Amino acid sequence: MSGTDLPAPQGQSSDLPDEPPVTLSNIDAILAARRAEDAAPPGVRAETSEPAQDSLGSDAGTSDADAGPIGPPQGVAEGTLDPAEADPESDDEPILLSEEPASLPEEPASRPDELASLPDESGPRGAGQPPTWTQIEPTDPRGAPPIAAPSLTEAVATSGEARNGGDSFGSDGGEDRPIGAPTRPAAALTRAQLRRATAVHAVQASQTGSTPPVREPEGNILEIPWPAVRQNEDADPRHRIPVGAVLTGILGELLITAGVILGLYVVWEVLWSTVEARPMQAQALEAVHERAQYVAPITAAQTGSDTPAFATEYTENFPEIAAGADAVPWMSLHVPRWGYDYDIAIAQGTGKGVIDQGLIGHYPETQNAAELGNFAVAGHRITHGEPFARIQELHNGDELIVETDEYYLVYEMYDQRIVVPTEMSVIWAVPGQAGVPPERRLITLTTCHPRYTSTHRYIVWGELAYWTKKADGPLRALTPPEQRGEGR
Amino acid sequence: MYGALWRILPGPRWFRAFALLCLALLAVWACFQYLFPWMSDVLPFNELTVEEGTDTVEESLGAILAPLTLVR
Repeated sequence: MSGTDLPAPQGQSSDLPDEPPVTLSNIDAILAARRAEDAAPPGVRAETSEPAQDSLGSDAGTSDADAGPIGPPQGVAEGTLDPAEADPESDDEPILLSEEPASLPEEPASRPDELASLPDESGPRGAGQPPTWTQIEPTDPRGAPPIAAPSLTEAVATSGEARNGGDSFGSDGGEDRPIGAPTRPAAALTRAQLRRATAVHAVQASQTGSTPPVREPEGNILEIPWPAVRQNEDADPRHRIPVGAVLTGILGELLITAGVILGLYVVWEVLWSTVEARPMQAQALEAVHERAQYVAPITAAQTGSDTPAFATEYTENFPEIAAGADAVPWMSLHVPRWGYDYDIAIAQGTGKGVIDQGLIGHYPETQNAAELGNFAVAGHRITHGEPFARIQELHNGDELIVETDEYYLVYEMYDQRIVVPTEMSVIWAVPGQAGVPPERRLITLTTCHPRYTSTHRYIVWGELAYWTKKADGPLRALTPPEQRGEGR
Repeated sequence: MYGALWRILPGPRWFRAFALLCLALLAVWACFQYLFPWMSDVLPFNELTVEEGTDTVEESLGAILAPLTLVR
């Protein structure tokens, strides 16, 4: 059934632009026939396909004979097929009717529903008008002569040809008559029609268990290769994905992005912040060492003696230390328990600008170092240089050594406590006792607790035990035991 | 979103992958340089000083939302 071979549709194409349903319907009819054929015994196979093919053949037959006022028969005619008219037709084939009582009447019944979903296919002919192809029926109500009877038999014959040729999509396979003439150029097919054709194709393939034919005859809408149809639909996916799905996808990607960012934040906070803080720590310590009043300490190694002469340790007449400017490092802290090379600068203030650089911040409202009262400082336990990372290793008696420009102030730890963050009394001049004049010179270290959270504060207290002049010689408490010699 | 980014980018496949990698690294750098320090300031997870107020999570969230309130 090629378009060039069929004169009838060419002449009628202008009259009835909505012809393709005939082809699609024919597919359904052929499918029903094929289904019946599979269920029927081999002996009656050729006849079981007749009713389905009959609708095809009758279209062409009536188009020839019925070229009157009714107009083109294709398309609509078959759509309005009803069971009442199908039964008389099957009377001509009593064997067929007995073989297929169930499937045949069902097929026409579904026709009007499908057409109802596609209103443009209803055509100029109203639903009330009887289908022209039924004129072939002996019991035609209008009494028209069975002109189409030859085409009926012809359809029986050609249906076998079509099936043998592997063409199951409405092609009659013959060039000698205009069966299946109703076709439309493939480009003019609507998307809905293509979808229907695809669906029919899939159903047919699943029922017959065979792969769809690769090549379709010319003139048929199914001549469009199936891959090509699918490519056309894939090429414009926006027409196929609902807006809700798109928005959900965007939302999901945003949430994934947020999760990744939060994970990166943890990496930055725990790991990278310290990597960033190390150079700032070193820079701050260097700034302390470059102060004009700064006196470089003398280490035991520098003396070159196995029994170095350590600096005199004074336990009274404590020196007065100059106050530091805001956020400017002006002292440093040594903690031998954390290593003899531990040396972190102390700056004024506990803001982010100080402690997030890995420095130790002095609470400005507390007393200065070596003063009567409380010299309270804060530092990170994790992240940002974590100067107090090992604060839990401190024990009572451990030295907390503040190195000022000229002196070493050696505090000795005497207590520790874990408190809630609002427990301000730990940094009072006399911790826990308001309004009491201080009589001791204390140091307080505060940091977060537990690690990785900050629900509490870890507090360490020390009391000033003695002080030395850096110029007098090395501080014994800062000298590793193997360098202290046997003399002391 | 990222699919659209992939389609917007010109060039062959390897160049798009390279460009996306560069964009991802740029985004990470921006986060490390600007976003995360700000988050560290406003989030309450790394406080270490004893002080009065601004310790609860609710108050910290209020501090986070304060700029948004000003915008509105």
